[in-house]
Amino acid sequence: MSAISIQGLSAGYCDEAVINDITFELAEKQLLAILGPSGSGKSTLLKTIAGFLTPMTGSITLEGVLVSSATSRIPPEKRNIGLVPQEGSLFPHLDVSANIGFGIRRNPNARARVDELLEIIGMTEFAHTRPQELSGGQQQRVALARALAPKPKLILLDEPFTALDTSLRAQMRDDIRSILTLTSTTAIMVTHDQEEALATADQLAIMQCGHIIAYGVPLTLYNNPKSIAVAQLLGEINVIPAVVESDNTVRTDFGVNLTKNSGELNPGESGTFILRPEAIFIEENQSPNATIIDSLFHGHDSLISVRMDSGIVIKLREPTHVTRTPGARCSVSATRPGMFLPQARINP
Amino acid sequence: MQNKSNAKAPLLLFWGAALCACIAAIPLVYLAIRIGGAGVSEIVSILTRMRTWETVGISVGLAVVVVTASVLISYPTALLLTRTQLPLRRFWFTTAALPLAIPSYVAAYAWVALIPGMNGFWAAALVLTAVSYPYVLLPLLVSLRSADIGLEQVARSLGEKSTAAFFATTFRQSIPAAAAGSLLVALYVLSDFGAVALLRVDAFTRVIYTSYRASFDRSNAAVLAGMLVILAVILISLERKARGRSLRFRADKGVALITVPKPLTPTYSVLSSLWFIAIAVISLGIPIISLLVRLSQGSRRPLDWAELMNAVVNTAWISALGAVIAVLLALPIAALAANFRRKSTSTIESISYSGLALPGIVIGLSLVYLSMNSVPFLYQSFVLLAVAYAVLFLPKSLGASRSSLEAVPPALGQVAQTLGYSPLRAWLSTSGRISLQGIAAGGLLVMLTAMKELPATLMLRPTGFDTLATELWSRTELAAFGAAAPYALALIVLAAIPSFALSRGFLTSEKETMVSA
Repeated sequence: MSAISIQGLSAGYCDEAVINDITFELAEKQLLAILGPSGSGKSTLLKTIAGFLTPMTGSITLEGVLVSSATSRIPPEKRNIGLVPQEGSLFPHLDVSANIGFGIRRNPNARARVDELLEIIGMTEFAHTRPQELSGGQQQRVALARALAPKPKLILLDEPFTALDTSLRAQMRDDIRSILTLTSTTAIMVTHDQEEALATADQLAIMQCGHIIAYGVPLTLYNNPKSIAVAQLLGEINVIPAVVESDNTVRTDFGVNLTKNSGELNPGESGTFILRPEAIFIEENQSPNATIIDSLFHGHDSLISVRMDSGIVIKLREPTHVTRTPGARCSVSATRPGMFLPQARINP
Repeated sequence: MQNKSNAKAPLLLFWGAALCACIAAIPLVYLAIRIGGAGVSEIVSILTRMRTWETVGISVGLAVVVVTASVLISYPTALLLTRTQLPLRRFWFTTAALPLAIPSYVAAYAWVALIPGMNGFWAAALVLTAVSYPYVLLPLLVSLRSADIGLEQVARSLGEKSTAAFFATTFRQSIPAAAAGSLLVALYVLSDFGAVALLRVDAFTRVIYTSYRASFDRSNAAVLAGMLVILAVILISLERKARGRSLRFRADKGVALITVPKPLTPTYSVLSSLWFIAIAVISLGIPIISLLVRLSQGSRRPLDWAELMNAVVNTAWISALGAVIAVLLALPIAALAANFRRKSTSTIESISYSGLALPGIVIGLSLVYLSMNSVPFLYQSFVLLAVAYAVLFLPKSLGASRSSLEAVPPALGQVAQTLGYSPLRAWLSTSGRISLQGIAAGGLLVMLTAMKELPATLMLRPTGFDTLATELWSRTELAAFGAAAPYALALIVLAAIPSFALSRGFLTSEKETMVSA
């Protein structure tokens, strides 16, 4: 049985739907990341799942129990869904222990549970510290422990890392990932950071303008995107006009390229070829076919723009070991296959 | 999740708030009905009387003079306090709010007791300025202290001299605070009854009261009260406009640069100290010394301690009751306004602020008419008097409750709900609990103000129910200055208790700002 199942859900404010026809299922103990730009309806979806908004159409089923539909709604306090908001959401008048124990005050084993969670989040020595004295990362760990205390069926994380310094984020991501695994918790996390979504999630949903435009395993969505929008939201891409040449190649201004979606292709069909910058290499000792126009240093790698002799501009990524000077000639070719999207699929 | 939602407010909260707002609007509505009942010809004849327009001239003139004087006193005072290492800076900071604890009629009485025969427009202007200038000074202090001098530094780096840079940046940022304070002073002057009555200035409130007492001319009182309300509304909308135009801007992220006080040269130290001493002597020293002198001289009749204690107790409990009602009325409105931004909610909030435009004498008059005509069993009852205080001072409680509730992120209540708390319990254990101090401060402020309230108390009190204010009033009316002194002092002492609690809150918040700076 899936932990949560959402069917044809629409919801919004003042009779105006912000999210439309959302449908997905999530298995137990999985972490789903919902990725989308701001205003795409992620937070509205989260509020509807938590029970703060009544759907206009559709339903939400939690472990087989219907919790939301257009006609009935179990109130948030009876759903057993935990919520970890963006930032500064700890109760300022309570210390760390009391914050974690807030939802289990009537539980006779509350003390033991609080101690257990303090241990899980590695903050036993902060039991009696006030939230104001904690760092941003510590605050978010306490907020997670507070949501976990009543052993919820599902945890909702609303942009949990946005307020943290970049240097802290990766660490926090790993921490929260392992806490969720350790406690076997099903979770849905909302984020606008593609790196965060890809690194954390078991399942990934991509939202745009109130719709889920892609749903699946992060690696699959990254490598085999079904639309330009999805490909773009998950990272840098080269978008090149193409015509199918054989059942596994396309012809473009970048030459003849291999595609991953062989078998789906009709020779002669025109469309778009999508190639990630890391699938392209600069080869030494070859006859040059391109000119370097720009090089952006990113530390671990560099993003290099080249103008092919055919006129199109291609972006490629390479480890930072050679300095590329604008104007220099080089030889550029794809070393891995890309995705071909027929014309019809360019706009979802 | 966003701070304010477009979501619909819970029905119960919405209608609860609407009901509270309606209660606040009763006096205004009833006044309108009463004026309407006077008939057109009657209204026209009152409006065309020379005397009516003399009254308008006197009240407006008094307001203009007092506001101007308050602003002229407050700017240098606030600058010295926030920007220089003035000798005894902390002491002057602590005493900044004290003049507010002295009711206008106590100050007026003290001056008259010191200089018998003192009266008229300029005497009233002096007394009213001395007791109300902190309304400008306090918001100005807060504004200047928290002003982001980063802008001023930018202006200087662009080649402006220090004074020019100040006027171009920080001064402009402080205008809304000064305007808000000026509004309070102007409303204070317009609605003041005690000082103008004692100093025999024929301002609105005194004329209304005289007409009301001369019971044959009640239409005149109602029409004048209506004009006073219109004046107050004009003032409030002028201030709204001024505030709208000079919206304060600060980029969202980043830390504001807080002023570091500069040392003063010895000459300037002496001069500024003299400035502070002069203000303190006029606003605090003379009233208190005059009262003590009168007290030590005694009066022909020995002081009746039982009577005094009775008045103290009455004052304390009736004002506390008014404060409790005010907080109860304010809470649903504040909770609604803090969390749900919709047109209907802001209408409810605006109606609740009608107390701002209703001087005590108007509320008194309106509730007298209402109780005599519609609910006779409430006429001259404690409940009516407490409700009058609550409606009159609702804006104070509402402002405090709303701003402290607004500071609590709504996510907290949502988290509590997901942890199994019903909406009401979630609100009580998060927003309600966290903003308790702010809400209580609002209540305390209402109590403090209600203790000093004179005109509504005079008109609405049950027969034989004496408060410190009414006892003081009846003695000064008989020119029994010696006998009035103990009541004046008792009032100052009693009012000092909530003032002290409030200013402690003010100072702790200052400490916190200093630490975080």
